Amino acid sequence: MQGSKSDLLQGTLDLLILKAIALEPVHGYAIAQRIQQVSREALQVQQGSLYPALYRLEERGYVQAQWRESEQGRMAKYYSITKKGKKQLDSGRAQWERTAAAIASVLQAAE
Amino acid sequence: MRWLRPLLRRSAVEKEMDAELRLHFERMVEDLVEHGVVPDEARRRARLEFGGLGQVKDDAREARRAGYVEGFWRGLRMAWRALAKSPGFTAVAVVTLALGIGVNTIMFSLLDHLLLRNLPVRDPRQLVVLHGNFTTPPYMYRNTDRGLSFSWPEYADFRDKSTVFSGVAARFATDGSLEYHGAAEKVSVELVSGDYFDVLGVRPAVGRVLGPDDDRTEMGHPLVVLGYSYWQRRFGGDPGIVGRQVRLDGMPMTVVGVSAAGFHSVDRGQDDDVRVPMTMKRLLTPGWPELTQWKQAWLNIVARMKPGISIQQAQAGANVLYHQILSDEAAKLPPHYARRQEFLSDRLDLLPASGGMMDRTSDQKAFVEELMAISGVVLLIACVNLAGLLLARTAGRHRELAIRLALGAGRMGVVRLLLAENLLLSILGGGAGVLLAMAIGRPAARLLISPDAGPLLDSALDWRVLGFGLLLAALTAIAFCLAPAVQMRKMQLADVLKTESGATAGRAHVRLRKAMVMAQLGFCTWLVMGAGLFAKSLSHLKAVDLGFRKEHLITFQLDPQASGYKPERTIATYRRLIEALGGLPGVTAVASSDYGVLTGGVNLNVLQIEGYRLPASGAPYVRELVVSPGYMQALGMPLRTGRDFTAADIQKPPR
Repeated sequence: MQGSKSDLLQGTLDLLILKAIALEPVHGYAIAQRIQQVSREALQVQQGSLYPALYRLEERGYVQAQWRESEQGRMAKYYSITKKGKKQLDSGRAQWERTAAAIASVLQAAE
Repeated sequence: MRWLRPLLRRSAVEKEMDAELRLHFERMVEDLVEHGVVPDEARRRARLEFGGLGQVKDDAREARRAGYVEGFWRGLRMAWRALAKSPGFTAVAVVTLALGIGVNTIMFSLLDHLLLRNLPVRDPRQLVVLHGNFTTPPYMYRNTDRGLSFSWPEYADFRDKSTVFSGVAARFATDGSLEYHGAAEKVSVELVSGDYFDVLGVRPAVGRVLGPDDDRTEMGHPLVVLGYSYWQRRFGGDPGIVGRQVRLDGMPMTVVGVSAAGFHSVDRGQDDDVRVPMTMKRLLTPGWPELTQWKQAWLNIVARMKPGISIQQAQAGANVLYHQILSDEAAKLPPHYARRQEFLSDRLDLLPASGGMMDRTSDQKAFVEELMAISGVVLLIACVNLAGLLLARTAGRHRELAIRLALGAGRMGVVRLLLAENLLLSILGGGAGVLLAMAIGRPAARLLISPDAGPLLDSALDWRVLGFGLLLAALTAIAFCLAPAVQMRKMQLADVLKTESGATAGRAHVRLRKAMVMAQLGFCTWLVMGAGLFAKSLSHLKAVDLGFRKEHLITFQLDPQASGYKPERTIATYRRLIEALGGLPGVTAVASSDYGVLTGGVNLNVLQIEGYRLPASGAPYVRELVVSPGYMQALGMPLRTGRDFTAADIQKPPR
């Protein structure tokens, strides 16, 4: 997301991270890259928010981390989603969709 | 314990974080280079975008719970320094807490021993005590206060025919005289059925315990199992005592073993010194030697329910058997027996005995609970006192705290610092309190409960009591730090910094202090009233009319039979003693009785008066004391009518 980390709706970054690692284990830098690419450069995740968020998610048991060799042959810390994380992702997504729909309907009604 | 890892291997975690962030940084640079940026420029841009590495790491650390744990230790260290700076305050606070927590720890360990704790036996939850409700004749000796007792034939039926119990044991508490190496001593004796130890699952500490084969023939098993604390007290814990002979009520008996440490008695609050097979009853109760009288309901029965059976199921099953027993007994009742129907419809209750037998109407229980409540109030007062102290201390530190806030400490951080100080105080106070409890617990128990209560507390400090003490410490920390924390919330940084003294007494602050003073006053009033009532009861007890003149009265106890005197010789000894004492100058009267004055001992007997029918609700029991001629005169008991016994009333010596 452009600008400072406070622009990000609370909890949304966690959701984006969980989504980014939902398919396969990804390391930190690639998570940021992936979110940037998928959002067509609209969302940029600063490492200043990314790593605290990752550690927080790890502490809460939503993600787990493992050191292994990256495609470039260097050791990198790979994050993968846990069962608990998947549940969190699903409920978070549903919550987001409800909120977005609610906001959209309010905005449309105003016109 | 994943959260512990960062604490234990802090450098490793830091290294990991470094590596991860460095990789991120390098990948950023590489990407920029790939997009055609000169490496130096790429590095510069990446660094710009990356922001302060230290800040990132700080945030990341904060996100870990380890951050809290580390912060906790840092906080404790800071708190220690802060407390060390004011040793006077710290000492007062710790002593106040130590008293409050110490008293409560002692009370809890008493409460635990007397009321809460399970018996140290196998699966105590399976144990029940049998309880019959019918207390009047035909039964004799059935303890009317407890209604717990049964006859031996009844016990045998429960043991042999019950379908709901895996084991049934009987016991009877009495006392005797144990002689070893020429020194005799009065001991509490528990007559136990042979399966007693099996049913309870009590193991021997040394030697062996009794088994069913040790309880087959009458007077055929001169065996003794020592209780652990008696073994420690009398024999110094010498395992060599096993196999030796002692004399119990004059009879040589072999010590076969010592029961496990921690097991005192199935009767809560008692501590039986020795256990003897039930078949030795004649030795210990020579006045009523028969074991098998069906009318003598004298045994407590403890049963172990079969696994998986609920107490309701067991009760239903046991009652079926009980009614068979009752109808067998009813057949032996005289035909004119008036209360046959009531007798037949008596109900058997099973009382949970995981903690042993307990009086339903126990004075001791109420007493201990009351003491516990009082000591709780003492702790509350200590808390309020401490809260007041802390409030004053915090007020004095407003400026310091405000500076901390101004320097960027979070409000929560400052509250956490205060909390850490209080926690440290309560840990110190709690530790001192537990030490205090260890030091004075036993003397206090002797003073409060009875001189015999000391051995009950031989494991005075186990993990339960310790846990209780620590829990108390933690709760008090929370309780007495509430006040300063509430105050902190109201604190306005700018106001404090502006005033020179830094002490601003806000309105809320004053209200809080007033509330605390009120609470303290209330608690103290309550306590003083309680203490006053206790003192008054005590003075009432001293003034109570005993029915005899206690002035110039001297009593002592003597039991020649316990030292092996035959009955005839015993009587002769008493006679000689009474004569000799009566001849002493200054002695106006001498008499003897089978139970001493105010010892609480009496015989329960059934009194039937010819031509008189009891009202349906009345019990025909009388409390009987066997006395020598002149007893009334010796005690100064006024006679309403008639006369005292005289020597002429003795036609032949009693048995």
